[in-house]
Parts: sequence; structure tokens; C-alpha cells
Amino acid sequence: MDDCDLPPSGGRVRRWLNWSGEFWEVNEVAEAEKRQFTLEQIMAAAESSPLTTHVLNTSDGVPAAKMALTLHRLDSKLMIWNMLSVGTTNKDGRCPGLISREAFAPGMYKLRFETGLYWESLGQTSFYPYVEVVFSITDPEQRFHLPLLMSRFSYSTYRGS
Amino acid sequence: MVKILDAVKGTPAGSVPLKVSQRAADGGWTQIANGVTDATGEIHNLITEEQFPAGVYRVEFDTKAYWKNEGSTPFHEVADVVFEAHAEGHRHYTLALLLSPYSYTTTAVVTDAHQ
Repeated sequence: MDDCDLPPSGGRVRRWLNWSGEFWEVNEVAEAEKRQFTLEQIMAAAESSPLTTHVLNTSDGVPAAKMALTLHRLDSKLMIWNMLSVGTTNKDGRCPGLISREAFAPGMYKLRFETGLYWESLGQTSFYPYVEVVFSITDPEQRFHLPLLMSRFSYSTYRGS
Repeated sequence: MVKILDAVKGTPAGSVPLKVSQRAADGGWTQIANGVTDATGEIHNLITEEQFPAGVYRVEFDTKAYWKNEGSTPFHEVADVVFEAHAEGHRHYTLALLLSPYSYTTTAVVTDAHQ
């Protein structure tokens, strides 16, 4: 459950995003069974996300593992954010399979990192309850690597490829 | 207090618009102040102590407007910084923001107001 790969069918996946006592559940079993992915297809999809991230804990000099994050796209007509995917960083601080090439349309996106919960799980407080990175994609053919380097009182993000 | 710097030019970032909002009990945001940085990349007297009780605040820096004004095309729509104030007692906060067209860094300088 720590990896962001789509789970094999036969297990309900629960993601907790909880700064104010709310939680979201994602039942990926029904989704996977609907699409009847083979494991190879799932792995291929996970590796080819055009949008990737890498979260690093610059205080301790380690990848930030087990951090929850969500990807959203703005519906520009209704002016609301639609959540596209939920994930948790693996032990390398990465989260493969954020979005498929097919789903990656031009538009405004938001990556929200549950950094407050992460620091809490390490027994520390943090200045920021969460971090949101908001950006626009005009050319979805490119690759976008959006790392987040963070400490308790600071964070940095950039666009790589 | 804010301090914004332009990492491309090596100068403060002036004329950056920003908005300050306070998180309400229902989770929504109420705008309490707005302004534009001066030539030193700062804004003074943005909010008073009375307007700034303990709680969660958000400062939205319109970095896209800044870069467009500089003639660059930026990647980020906005630099949105959400933070929790006075969680461990009353403090003085400076949000520092370092900007590039494809990157930004923010850090907080927290001092004891009574020193």
C-alpha cells in the first residue's frame, strides 16, 4: 500500500487525508476489474505517467516516504477542482502512475502534498499544514517532473522533465 | 511581513500582487488583506495584530503576473503559501519567497515578537 502502483484486484485501498478529520476512500478494486488490466499493463501505465514528482526531506536528508498527495485539474467552466488521483509516496519519495498520457489534457493542475501529516507522523510540527503547487499545462506531450524539497519551515519546488 | 526576491535578476521582486486570507471554521477562506510589494520586495502594515489571531492563513502571491510583467513565461499559476500562525504562542512571521520562472522557494522566519 506504500507504492503508487495500481493494486492488483482483490483488495480495497483506503487513503487517509486527514488534517481536519475528513477522509477519502478509493475503491480501486471495482475500477481495476472494470478495466481488466493485466499486471504488465498496470506497471506500464505506472511508468509512463507524463507527470511525476519526488518529495525530499531536506532536514533529514532522506526521501519523504509515505506522504499522501492528490492531483487535481481545474474545471474552468465550473471553476472547481476535480480530483484526478490519490497516492502515497514510496520509500524513494516518488509516486509513479499519477496520470496516464491519455488523461493528461491541457489545463490548470494542482498537486497537493499532505506535508503536515507527514511531519506529524515523524513526531514534529510544521509551519505549513499542506503544500499545493498550481501550474498550467499547455503542451501535454512533454514530461513534467515536479519535485518538492521540504523542511519544517521551508519548501522549494521546480519544473524539471 | 513578506520578502520576495527575484533569483533571475538578483534583486528584490517589486510590484508582486498578493492576497491574505484567513481560514474560517467551516474550512472556507475569507480574504482579510491585499497589497503589492514595493521596490524592496516587501509590504508594510499589511494586517494589524488584531486581525491576526492564532489560526491558519493563506497568502496567494501572484507570481504569474510578476513574470509576465518581466517578459517571461512562468510555469506556476500562483505561489500559494498556507501556514499556521501562533500555534506555540504569539510570534512574528516573515514569509520569504525566492522566485524563478520555473521554480519558487518559500521559507518562514519566525521570531519572538517580544524580543
